Amino acid sequence: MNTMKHEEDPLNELMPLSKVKIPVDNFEDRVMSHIKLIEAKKAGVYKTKLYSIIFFLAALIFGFMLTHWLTHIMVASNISATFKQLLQLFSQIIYVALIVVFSNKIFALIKTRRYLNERVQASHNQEI
Amino acid sequence: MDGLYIQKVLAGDSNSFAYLVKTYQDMAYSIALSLTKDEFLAEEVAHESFIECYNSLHNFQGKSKFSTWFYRIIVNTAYRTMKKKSVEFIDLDLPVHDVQDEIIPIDKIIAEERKQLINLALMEIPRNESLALRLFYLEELSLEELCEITSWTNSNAKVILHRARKRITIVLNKLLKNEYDEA
Repeated sequence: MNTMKHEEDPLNELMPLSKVKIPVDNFEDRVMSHIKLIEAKKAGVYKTKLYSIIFFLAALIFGFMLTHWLTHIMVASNISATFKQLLQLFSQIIYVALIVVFSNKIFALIKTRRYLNERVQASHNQEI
Repeated sequence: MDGLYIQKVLAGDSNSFAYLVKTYQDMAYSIALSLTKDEFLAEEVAHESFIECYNSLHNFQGKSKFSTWFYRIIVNTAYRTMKKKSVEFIDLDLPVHDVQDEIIPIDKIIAEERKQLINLALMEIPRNESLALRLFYLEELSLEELCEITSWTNSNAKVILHRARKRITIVLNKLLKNEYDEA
């Protein structure tokens, strides 16, 4: 244990022989075709990601319009003012809560690349 | 050269990854074989390691050599695969100090036999020692790099390497003796 250097060591001569050649001829092709598959699936996942963002934005606008429309209906109706306020507050809280929950998911989806890799890997493993 | 191809892969040219596969496939297999001691499992580990490498290439910051970073992936993948497949970790209990170190008659062995012999000896010694020898001698890594790949401490790596040297000499002598006895 006196020396940990590579020089002056009889194993220097022997150990280079221990490099084993991979016994499969088409190993490189197999890895590359697996990678191509991953890339193809990634493209599919990116498409899904894009749709998620589009639908999120559409739902955001639709939710806003719906809340606005409901408020108008309530104002025009004959129900008591306190109940009106309560309904208005309740619908707005739900709307905001949904935005917070889904925007959190959308941000995670945009940011996390690993998530995509894992999904692609998981679906590939399932296929195998 | 690795850096150039890594940049290409990161820029979206996945075909450039073929260069890395071609360059490191034998070493990946050798390291995997050191740990798994099984040819089929080693091939699977090598394959999985390249996929893992491809998927996390954006995490490679270039602080260490690409090979060091990649070998760490192989080691982790090998342990994970063995755990998944419930491969038992059995440390061979060779009487290290009972057998005298002898000078190996290297000159008497022809090249192919030497290759077979050293690989046979590496299959017979414990996984961590086989791994240490392959990384230290085959790749001429420093102790620091060895520790980085294996997560061993410096002193632990020294001890493992020392034991590995001693044990492989013993195993080689034993194999040679058997060979000559048979002949």
